[in-house]
Formats: sequence, C-alpha cells, structure tokens
Amino acid sequence: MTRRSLSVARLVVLVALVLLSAAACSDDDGGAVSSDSTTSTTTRPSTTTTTTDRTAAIKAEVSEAYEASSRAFIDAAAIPDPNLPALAATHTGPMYEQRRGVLLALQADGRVIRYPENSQYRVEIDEGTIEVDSDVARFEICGVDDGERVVAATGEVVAGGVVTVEAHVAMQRVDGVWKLAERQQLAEWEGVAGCAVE
Amino acid sequence: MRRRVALAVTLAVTAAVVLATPAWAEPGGGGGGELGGDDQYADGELLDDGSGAEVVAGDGEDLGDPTAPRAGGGNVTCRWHELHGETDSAGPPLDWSLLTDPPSDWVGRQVSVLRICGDGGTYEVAEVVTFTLPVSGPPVVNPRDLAVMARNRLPFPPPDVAFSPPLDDPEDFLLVQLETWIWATNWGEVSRTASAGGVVATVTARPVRMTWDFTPRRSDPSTEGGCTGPGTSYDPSKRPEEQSTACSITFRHSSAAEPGAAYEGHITVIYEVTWTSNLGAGGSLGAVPRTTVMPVRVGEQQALNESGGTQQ
Repeated sequence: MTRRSLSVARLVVLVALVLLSAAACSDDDGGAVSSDSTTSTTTRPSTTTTTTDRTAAIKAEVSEAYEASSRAFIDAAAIPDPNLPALAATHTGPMYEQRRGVLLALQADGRVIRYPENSQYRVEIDEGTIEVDSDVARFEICGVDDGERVVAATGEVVAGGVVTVEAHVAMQRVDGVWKLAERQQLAEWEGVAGCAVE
Repeated sequence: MRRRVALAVTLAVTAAVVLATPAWAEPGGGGGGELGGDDQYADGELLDDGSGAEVVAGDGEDLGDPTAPRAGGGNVTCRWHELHGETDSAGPPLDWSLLTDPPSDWVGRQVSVLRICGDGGTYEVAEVVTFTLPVSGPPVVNPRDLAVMARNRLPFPPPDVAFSPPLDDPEDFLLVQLETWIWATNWGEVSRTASAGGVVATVTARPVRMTWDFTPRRSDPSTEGGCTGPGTSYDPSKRPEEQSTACSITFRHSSAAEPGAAYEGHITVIYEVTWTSNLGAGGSLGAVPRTTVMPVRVGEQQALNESGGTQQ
C-alpha cells in the first residue's frame, strides 16, 4: 500500500469516526431525555450503552491520534523538518522532545527516513490493552517497519531492514487533543515476526 | 533570552574543536524507521508504572522483557552541532570558541546546541542543550553516562540451547529418570564502547551462569536448576563414561499432564555487566538475565520402547 492510499484510507476512517462520535453524542442526549420521562428501569440499559459508546469513541479517538502522530513523524523525517506543524500538533512531553531531537540530528547529518514504494509499514493497536485514565491513555502496539535512514546526497542506507516492534504507548490529552507522549519498546524482532504473526 | 548559536562566522575552524568525532562505528540492527529506529522511544512518568516482566539493571534502568529479543547496536560516539535560526535548524559541528569566547554583547545570553550520540545508523541521544554564555568549554563527560549508552547498544542475546538427548524435531522428547545434558551454543561476551571528548567507556556483558525452570508457574525443585558456565556439549562419538557435564537435569515426571503435553522451559543466561574507561573509572552495571522460552516434552521410558524415541 502506498503512503498516499494510506492517507486516503485514514481520512475515510477519520470521517467515519467523527460521524460515529456525533451519533454517540446524539444517543447520549436521547437517553437522558428518555430517562426523565420514563421509569428508572429503562435508564440503566441506556446508561450502560452510553458509557460503552463513550469508551469506544475515546478509544477510537486515541487510536486515530496515535496514527496521526506516526504519520506526522514519517512526513517530517522525509524532509527532515523538526518544525513541521503536524509534529507539535500530535506530540507532547518526552516523545515530542525525542522526535524533535532525532529530526534535528537527521538534519545535521544530511539524512532522511524513507519508505520503499511497496512498504510493509503497518501498526496495529491492541485495543484490548487500551486503558484510559482521565487525560492519559495507555496501550500496546505491534508494528512492522521497513523505514530506512538514508544519506540524502548519496542515497547510502545507514540503517534499515524490516523489523517488528512491540511497544507500550502513552497518549496524553492536551487542550482536548490526544497526543503521543511516551513510547517504550517492549520487544523487537528481525523481519515480520513475533507479535505480527501471533 | 534564548538564542540559537549563529552559524555566521567561523564554520571553517570547527573540525578541530568538536568533541571527539571519530569515524562512525558500525551501525547496529533495529531498522531505521518510525518504529524500528532505536531512538524512537521516550519514557517518562506516564509509562513508569511497570508493564510486567521487565529487567531493571543495577542503575535502575529498564532493559525490557527478559524473554524479548533485543537488537542492540554499534559503538556510540558523541558530538555537538550548532542550532541556528529562530526555528532551530541544525547546522554543522559546533565550534566551541563561539561559546567560550563570544562577542561581548552575547555574554549572558542563553544558546541552545544539539548533542548527538549515536552509532552509524541511529541515535542514542539527540537532544537540545542550553548554555549561558560564556561557557568554559565542552561539558565534562561523565564516563559512566557513556557506559550506560554503550550498554543500551548491547544485544544481550538469549541462549540458544541444545539438549542431549537432542530435541531436533518437535516430536522429539526427553526421558524421565535419564540425565539430560543442557548447554548453550551461543555463550560469549558482548562488548560496546561509547566515546565523547576523548573519554571512552567500554561495557562488557559476560555470561556467568545458566539457570532453567521447566515449571515456571509453580515451585518444583525437580524441574529447576542451574550451573556456572555454558555446559558441555555431548559428543555422541565418545562413550558416556568418558564425558561429563555440570549442566544437567534428570526429570522425574513426564510432561503429559502439562498444557500441550510439554513443559514450558525457561532457560536463562545471566550476564554480568561491567564497564571500564580510559580515565580509570569503572565498575558494575548489574546483572541482566535473558531467557529463552521453549516447549520441552518429557516422556516415560515406556514411550521410548513403543516409539523408538530418542537416545543419548
């Protein structure tokens, strides 16, 4: 899948999520009205459904925000541009500092990160691990990455290969926006392996 | 007020005063992309809650799940680069004379520079550091900090284990009441260096002990043990009485009642990590375990008679 088709696919997902969130809010309001005008026995299922919807919507928001952060870094590293607005819009805390540092270092070394045309890059968020505690969300991801660090002037590849990575992620909600705050590698395999094939 | 170091004037004289910038060491494994680069991770307070079976080194640093692979990397070198412009764009290697002997109207200002420590492929440290002018010179490099960087590039390979009787095929099994030899085929030291400003720290991980536990979810002394060293490989061309090993186990019970009819073998190598430096400082960075998890079937002698089984 090309980067462009990935972006388009994600845009479609984003629109769907927005519509879904709107629907969830609508259900929420409807449930509240209903509980005022009927017996309490009808309220309980409605409340449960609403809570589930809200949780699902937050998880969807968090997942989408994580994907946006990955996309922002990939876009920034292809230039490289440590000041790409999308980077600050999707990252915060230690991860933002780390990402900026790497981008500055790439810039200093005349390097970029690029992906092959038929990239195998993919990230799956383990939805079962998503825990949301107020403005912090934690979860695990499994990703396959075939990005390469390349000397821009010569095309020399200085780091590359296909790896599978399992990582623990923390997102933080800042001014209402979920941003990637921390990420800790849990395991790494050469090739498509480990969590990617389990 | 924070200012970026101006590129302006003195780029031509930079090379001689840069913190030691030896030729790039070999790049390590681990890929180079958004996920695969060794430098794409940052811990803080949010993930400081522990996530299960982690290895915490002698200095408190989390080295991850002991059963997880770890790619490691190459030797690390550190250097400094200019940052310039209001938007922090990275420039060439830093000329420290800009900071130690700045123009008089720069005195008292804060400047930010980029510190990079990495192997040939990815970075161990890539951070913006701020100084107030003038500075006396490059910061004194702490060799222990370098040692920790070098340790982060160590792969700590989990043991590749062989048995006698051999387990070459998934259908192979060991036998109860028969001494089983265990040995590691990849036993060996691993070493990395990190250098900056003429200071070189060398970290060595030396395997010192192998342990095993075939029933990790319950205590059973008959399935637990260990030995010092890698064990001895069994030589089928020699007679049994001509060889011996310090690394063996004799199973007392079949694994037939275990999940999947196999024991969950956890074979661990303990690495002792030490560091030295060209300044004379050195010491321990603790012990790091690495574990291989593998199913191990153990059968009764009767099974041997019926199926032919395996033999030592």
